[in-house]
Order: sequence, then structure tokens, then C-alpha cells
Amino acid sequence: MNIPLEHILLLSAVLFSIGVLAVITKRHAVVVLMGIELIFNAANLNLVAFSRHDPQLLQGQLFSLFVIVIAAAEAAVALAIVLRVYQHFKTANLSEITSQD
Amino acid sequence: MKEQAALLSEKINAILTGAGSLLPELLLAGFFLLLVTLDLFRSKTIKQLLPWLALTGLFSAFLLQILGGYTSGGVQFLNLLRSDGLARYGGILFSAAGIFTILLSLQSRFLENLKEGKGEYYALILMLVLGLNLMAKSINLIMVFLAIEVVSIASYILTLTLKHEKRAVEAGLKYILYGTLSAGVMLYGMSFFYGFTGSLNYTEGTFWQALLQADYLLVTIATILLFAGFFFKISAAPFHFWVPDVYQGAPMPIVALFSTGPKMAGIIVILRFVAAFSDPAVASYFDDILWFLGIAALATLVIGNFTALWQKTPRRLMAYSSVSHAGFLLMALLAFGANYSSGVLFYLSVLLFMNYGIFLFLQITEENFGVTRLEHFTGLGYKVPFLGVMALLYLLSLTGLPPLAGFMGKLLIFSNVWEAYSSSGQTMLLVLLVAGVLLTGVALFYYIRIPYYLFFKRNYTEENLVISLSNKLLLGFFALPLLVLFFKPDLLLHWIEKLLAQTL
Repeated sequence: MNIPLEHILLLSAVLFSIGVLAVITKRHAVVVLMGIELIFNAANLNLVAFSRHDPQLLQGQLFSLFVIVIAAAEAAVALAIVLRVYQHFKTANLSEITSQD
Repeated sequence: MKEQAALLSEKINAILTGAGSLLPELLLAGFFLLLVTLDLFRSKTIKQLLPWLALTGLFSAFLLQILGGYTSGGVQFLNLLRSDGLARYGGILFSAAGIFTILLSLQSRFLENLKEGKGEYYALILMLVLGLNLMAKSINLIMVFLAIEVVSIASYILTLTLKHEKRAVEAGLKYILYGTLSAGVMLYGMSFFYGFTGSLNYTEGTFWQALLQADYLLVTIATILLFAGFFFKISAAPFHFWVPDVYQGAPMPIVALFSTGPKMAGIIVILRFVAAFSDPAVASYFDDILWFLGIAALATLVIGNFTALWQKTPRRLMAYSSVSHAGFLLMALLAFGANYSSGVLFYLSVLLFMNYGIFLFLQITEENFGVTRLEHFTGLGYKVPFLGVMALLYLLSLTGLPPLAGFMGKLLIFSNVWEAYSSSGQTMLLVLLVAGVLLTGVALFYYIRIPYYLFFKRNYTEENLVISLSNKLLLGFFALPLLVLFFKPDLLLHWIEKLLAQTL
């Protein structure tokens, strides 16, 4: 059950790329948020993987716990804002949301 | 088991002894909780008390940090936070920014008419200042991330204060999408730093020693990823796209806070990070990182100054002006030398007064005279000469012309960059210096457009335009330090140097 570090790093890099790709190509606000969530989780995976080489303090695992909490808080605020946007613009499509000149 | 118990009691002791150095933060957190609790009551008198309570909290944090002497037990808090002179001076600036924000909010009619959410508004300003304080103190990557997120989440909610307006909601969405994206990218970079070094304390020498052993290309990429988050906070290119929209949508006092608070804190975080590059061995090894920072500074300067030329609304003009100041500060951060930190801190202090002054001016003209585009300023300088003269003063200071403190700030940084160039001979610094001087000339063109409309065009409508005494006093108050610091910059510089030299 000893997965080499390279494999985990590769997986996290793939997750990161998928996240960035989703942010760039998708136009729906909620899907963009999902992409950002993937980026956070790529970083989490990295932190936990590296934490294996830091057995005394486990700072990486600790860090990823904080990240999970922060990501949840951010998602809550972001979804509330998306709801507001929907009430005003009747859409959550990013390219249709413009109010000024 | 016994070992763990011993470790636990050791940690608890460290927390208890270190808590003394966190007194300003604890105070702010206490007032935040108090405000949130009191906001639950329906009584009108209590609701009216809230801004004054927030003001009391910020003012006591301000005084505490000016007087100092609260760091009773140890400067360091668990390898996470360090309460040194740099953090203390930063804390003074942040509390001052918080106080000014609340003063501006008390003058604002838009906020007065707000039906709900006033309590949260003031509470979140306290939370934002608390986060800024933590940013300035953090020496650990976990703490940097947490502090930046505290500031960011408070900012997202504050942007949506006027949530019945379309532009505010649009600004909020753009802000949070850019914000979380850059935070995620920064986090990914941080995870690599942890992997290279096995440590999160980025100010320590061993951290950088370990980085010298790591793969060069990967370290460079990780640094660029890390700076995504920092650049977002100081609104530097290429992470400045949120700036004009947020400045357009948020209430004016909050815009003033965004243009100073997070920028100052972000600069202090970057300053702590790049401090390692003052060591020539590290600097020559990671040459590409310095080039990257230099190019980012140059790009920010160019984009900020040139885009500002085409803007038609005062809010957007100030947004790009804020971007250009970020570029200027980045340039200053690369000029390692004798007066390095004090020059940057002096510029930040001057920026605080200039920005609050000009945003108060914009708030008055927008709410009292309905100015939302640059043309609407026409003839206002004749109608209300005091307002016009004050605006001219702030704008000249923002450009960096004598006899105002903005000139001293720019002069200090330019001379620092020149000194750093003559001692190290890096061409990048020379390029930055030349670009900085030339773009200051460009800056004159867009800043001068407001006084041009104010004074050089006449508007023959017979209206009685008045501004309240409290607004006049505040305008004068923000202008006073700009004049004093031009003639006596040493007053502040000596104090900054004294604070920085202190080991506490």
C-alpha cells in the first residue's frame, strides 16, 4: 500500500489542469466554482502527500484541514452571491452578466 | 502517551506566553463579537451605537500599537506569527485605514439609507482589519493563506453592501471568482514549497537553503503560482481585472479601504518573502524569479497608467490609478538597499492619506452633486472652491508633484532604485527606473483631467451647492499630513526606522 509520490503528484497536476480548464472554458458561474474547487483539492492532495516526509509535525495534513474549512466558507459566500446574481439578471451565465457600459 | 501530554502542555504554555503579543488582534476580535451580538437587538439606539463602537475598537487597537509595549511574552507566536516592528507599523496603518473607512461611512448618504445589514457592515470592517493585521504578522504559509482568506471573504461580502444594485452584485461575482481562483493557484504553489523544504516557515534561512537544493525550474514555477495570490491582493497585473468592476460597484468608503488596506498588507507579505533575495547567493541563483517580478512590476505600471487614460468615470480612473501604484510599489520591493523597508512604508503611509482624501472627494461629489462621469465635474471648482482646491491637492500628490508628500514618497523610492542599480548593476532596475519616471509623466495627463473639468470649464447653472462642515474638516484632515510630510519627511521616517530597528 505504498503509492509512489510521483503518482500522487501526477494526479494532482491533472486535477489542477482540469480545474483551470473548467474555469477558462465554462461560462456558468457554478461550474466555474466547481473548477476552482478542483484546484483547491489538487493542492490538498499535494499537501497530504508531502506530509508523509514530515512525520513529526504533519504540517501538510494540518494545512489541508484548514484549506477544506476555508474552501467551504468561500463556497457558501460564492453560492449566495450567485443566487443574488440570478435574482437580478435571471441567468448565471458569466458572459451575459454585464450592467454598465 | 506521556510524550504527547508533555508536548501538549508545552504548546499550551507557548500559546499563553505568546498571546500577549496578539493583544491588538484579540481586541479587534472581541469588538467584532460584541458588534455581532449587539446587532441582534432590535432597539434603534443600540443600532445607532454600532458605528461608534466599531470606531472605539479600531481606535483602541490604533493607540495600543502606537504606544507599544504590549508584547510581554515573546515576539513569536508558535512559529506562525511574528510581532516585530514591521508588523506593528503595518498594524498602525491598518487601524488608521479602518478608522478612516468608518468616518467616511458615517458621511455617506447611501449607507445611511441602507435598511438592513448595517451592523454586519461595521463588524466586517473590523474583521477585515483583523485579517490585515494577521497578514502583516504571518511568517508561516498556513497563516499567510488563512489571513489572506479572512481579508478576502470579508471583502466579498462588503462589496455587496448595496445588494439591491445590479452593478454591486456583478462586481461581487467577478471579485469572488477571481479571488478564489487566485487563492487556489497560490495554494497549489504553496504545496510545492512545502514539498521542497518540508517546512512552512518561509522567512527562515533553512527554508531558502532547502530551496537551493531543489529543482530550479520547479521552484521558479511554484514561486510564480504563489505570487498569483499576492498579486491579486495588491491588484497587480495580470490579476487586476477585478479592480475596475469592484471599484464601480462597492460603496465609496469600502473602495477606499480596498485601495489601501489589502494593498499595504500584501506589500508587507511580499516584503517578508523577497527579503531572502537580499542575500546575493539566493538572488543570483534565482535570477529568473527576480526577472519575473521585474516584468510584472513593469507590466503593472504600463497597464495601470495607460488604461487610466481612456477612462470616463472617476471610479474607474481611480481603479487604474490604484493598479499603477501597485506597480510602483512592486518596483520599490526589488530595490534592496539601506532605506529599503522604510522607503516602502513611507510611501504606503502617504498613499493612505492621498487615497482616503480623493475617495472622500469622490463620495461628496457623487452623493451631493450626482457626479458619476468625468464631464459632470464641469465648473464645480468655481461653485465650491474649497472642494476644488482640495481635489487638486490630492491629485497632484497622487501624481507625485511637489510640494506634496506624494513627491517625497516617489523621490525616496526612485533614489532607492537608483542606489540599488549602482551597487548591483542590474539592467532590470534601470529599465524600471526609467519606466517609472516616464509613466509619472503619463500619470499627470489622466489625473489632471479632473481639475481640468473642475476649473477650466464653466457651467452657468444657478444652484446653491453646499457641503457639510464635517466633510470639510475631514478633507482638510487628510490633506494636512500631505503638506507636513513634504516639508518634514524625517518626522515619519525617523519613527519608522526606530520601529524597524526595535527587536521588541
